[in-house]
Amino acid sequence: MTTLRETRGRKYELTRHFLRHMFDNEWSASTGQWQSAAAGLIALLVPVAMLLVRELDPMGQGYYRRLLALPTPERFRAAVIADEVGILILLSVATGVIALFVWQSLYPSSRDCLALAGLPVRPRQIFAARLWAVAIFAGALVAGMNLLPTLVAPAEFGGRWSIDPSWIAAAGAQAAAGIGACSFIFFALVALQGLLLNLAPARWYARLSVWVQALLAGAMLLAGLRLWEVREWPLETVRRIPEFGSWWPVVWFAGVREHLLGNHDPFWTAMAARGAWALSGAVVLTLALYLVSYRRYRRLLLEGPARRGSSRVRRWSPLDLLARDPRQQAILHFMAATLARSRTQRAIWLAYVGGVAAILINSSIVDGAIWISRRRQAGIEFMVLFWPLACTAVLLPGLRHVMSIPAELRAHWIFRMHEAEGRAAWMRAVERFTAAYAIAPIYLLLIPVSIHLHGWMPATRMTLLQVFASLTIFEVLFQSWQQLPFTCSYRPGKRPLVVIVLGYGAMLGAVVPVLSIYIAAAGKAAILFWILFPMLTGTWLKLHLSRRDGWGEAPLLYEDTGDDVPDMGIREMRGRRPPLETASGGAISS
Amino acid sequence: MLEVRGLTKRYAGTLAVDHVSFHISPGEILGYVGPNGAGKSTTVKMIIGLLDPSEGMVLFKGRSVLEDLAGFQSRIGYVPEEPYLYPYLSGYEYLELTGRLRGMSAASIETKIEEFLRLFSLWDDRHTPVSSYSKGMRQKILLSAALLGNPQLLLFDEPLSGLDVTTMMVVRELMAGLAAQGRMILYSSHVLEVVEKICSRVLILNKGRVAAHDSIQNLRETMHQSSLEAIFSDLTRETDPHALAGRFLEVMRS
Repeated sequence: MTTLRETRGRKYELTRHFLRHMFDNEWSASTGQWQSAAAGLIALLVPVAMLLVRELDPMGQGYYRRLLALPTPERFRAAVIADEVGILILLSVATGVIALFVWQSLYPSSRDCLALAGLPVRPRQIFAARLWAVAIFAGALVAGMNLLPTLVAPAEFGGRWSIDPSWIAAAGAQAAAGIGACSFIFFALVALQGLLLNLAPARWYARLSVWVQALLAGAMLLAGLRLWEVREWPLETVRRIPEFGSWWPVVWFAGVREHLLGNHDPFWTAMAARGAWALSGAVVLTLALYLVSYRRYRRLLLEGPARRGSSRVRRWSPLDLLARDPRQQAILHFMAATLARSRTQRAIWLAYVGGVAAILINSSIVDGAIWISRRRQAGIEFMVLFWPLACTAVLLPGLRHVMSIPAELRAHWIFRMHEAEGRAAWMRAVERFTAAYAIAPIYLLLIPVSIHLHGWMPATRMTLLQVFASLTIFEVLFQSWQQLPFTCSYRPGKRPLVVIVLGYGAMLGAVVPVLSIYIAAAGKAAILFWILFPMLTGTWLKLHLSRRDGWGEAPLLYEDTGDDVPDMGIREMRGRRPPLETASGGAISS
Repeated sequence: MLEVRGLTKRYAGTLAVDHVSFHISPGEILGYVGPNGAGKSTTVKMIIGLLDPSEGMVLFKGRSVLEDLAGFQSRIGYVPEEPYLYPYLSGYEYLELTGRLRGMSAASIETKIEEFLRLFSLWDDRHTPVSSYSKGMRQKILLSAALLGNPQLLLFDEPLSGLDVTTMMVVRELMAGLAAQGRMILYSSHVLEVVEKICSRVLILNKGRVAAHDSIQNLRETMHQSSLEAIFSDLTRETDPHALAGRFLEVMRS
């Protein structure tokens, strides 16, 4: 440990600095806060990975033993390929998500260059150290991800019908495929960012980068959700892989495994070659882009034109429709500007939007709403029924999460000074903003479809029930909301990631579908509507009144104290003084 | 009149401000000075309601500000020591936000913002995000925000920080003008020359306690010193600056 504390050369110190702060980016509020999120992610991935081992899955025990007992190897080998593609999807998605998580740390930033400007460090050293840090990080990540699959897969896929029964050969092939797939995804993302950095105009780069990041997060989720379906591909689908899968990166690396084990089918050989070329291409492109970025770094990072807003004076905004009171308008405009322009908030919000898009697309593919033309009518019905509530179930918690994260915490003094003048108006603005951003759009989009599909009356009945269901979810989530968005400090990891994911799973897999079935039935039968409607509105009203009790009286919170605030409710918090004597509020600072 | 009575602030046993009392009458500028960590900003934050005092009270026009904190806050303009602003908002948008939070009408906000931005030569940069502003530009935005609501009481915590010489002179004149209109000003600063020029009275704070509180003329006579700097040095100095500077040089060479 003493050796680690010693000061070494500049390159070593810079690399160490970059590695140490790899995860400290816009997603975390302060240094080191990523650990709890990482622990949660591991806790989530381990059971998912274990489910991939069929012998550990109660539903899949004996699967390969039964296939080994068959007289011919085709079905066994097809099952192995399907499982291998599944494993590679999981590994690639996990690597991709982590790479997106450290997106801001993949290249030196202008902050790196400026912060180190006064030190005897040359830009070349900054770029070299960052590249080293990224390479070391990628190496550790890829090795860590592939350790268990390399050990477990040969045992799982072994037996008399395996192409090469040797455990060492199987482990080597698995390691090559897994490491190749993970490295390709990681370096492809690094290269993609490098392309953006070099090709996008300097003033657009930051904004474009966040959009790409969010889009890729959605794509990763979309791919990840296909995992379970891929593993169950029957022999016929595996035989058709050359028709549809030759441009899937995971198929390329499944080809690497097949080829190394001795499968000389021309398709798999071609895929293996494609995988090797893709990986080499991604690494070479990354190195080249680092070199180019370094050469052009001054223009890219330091001499980019200062961001200027539009010179057009905005006289009116759609947000003005939501409120006329200037205090409410102040909060509405502040929230909209923060969500649109603050990098952290925008990135997280876009990730949620990407997530919800992935869930909607996946669920519609599974249902057959998209692709299968003969089921088109039923598919659109599914969208009209499932999408609004599914959107609400993801976007409302997402918006609550985003609003909990502070934007420039120390600037909140302006609100603290004026809080007493307009607390109630502010909270009304938050309500309206949330409804306008997370609830209203999907209904506005789908109401015409619903009317076209079901006719006026059933569509109205269904939409009314869905809206009240969404509003009830809002009331539950915001029952104890006692802060102005983006102004309160945030302590992540209060709830384990596993619990959050299970909550989403239960909501999207059970509550929303069941509720949607009831709503569909109530839309068609008026009598059912008149049973369900009072129940839903009654629940909503009760929750609404309970949330509004003490509305605007209790002081707003500006520090996340770590108490179980969600369980307390406004009534309990009334009279509780906000913890003002904090670093954020300003301690002894004369 | 603003009256501060026995204002005290403790942080986990540390006494940041210790029974500080003073008043500011209409048309008066009180200079509030002291070394780093003396408790100046803490006092200001307690006055405006950002911090709760451990003891003592703040009275405005004879009534405790806690009786109607919102009403009191609507009458004050505050320039904080650090230019904490939302970096992604433009200067115009930040001022618009401030005006709306104060409940001002859109027309009034628009007119005043345009005037202030033009007067501070920020009009051309009005749509540029605050993150791209220099320190002086941010300070101008904070000054504009403080003046936007036409306040009766102004609390300036190092308002000249980062400003160019011309703007500094303008702000000094502005403070004198505001006082002439009968507004109360608490001017907290380290720049003693400015304090000496514009303040009618001065309060010197040291380690949270009032070390001196009088008109500058009276302090000069009582302390037998010719300048505020000499008085300040006399009251707050614990170490010999010359010896301290020498020690720095020694450490550098070591």
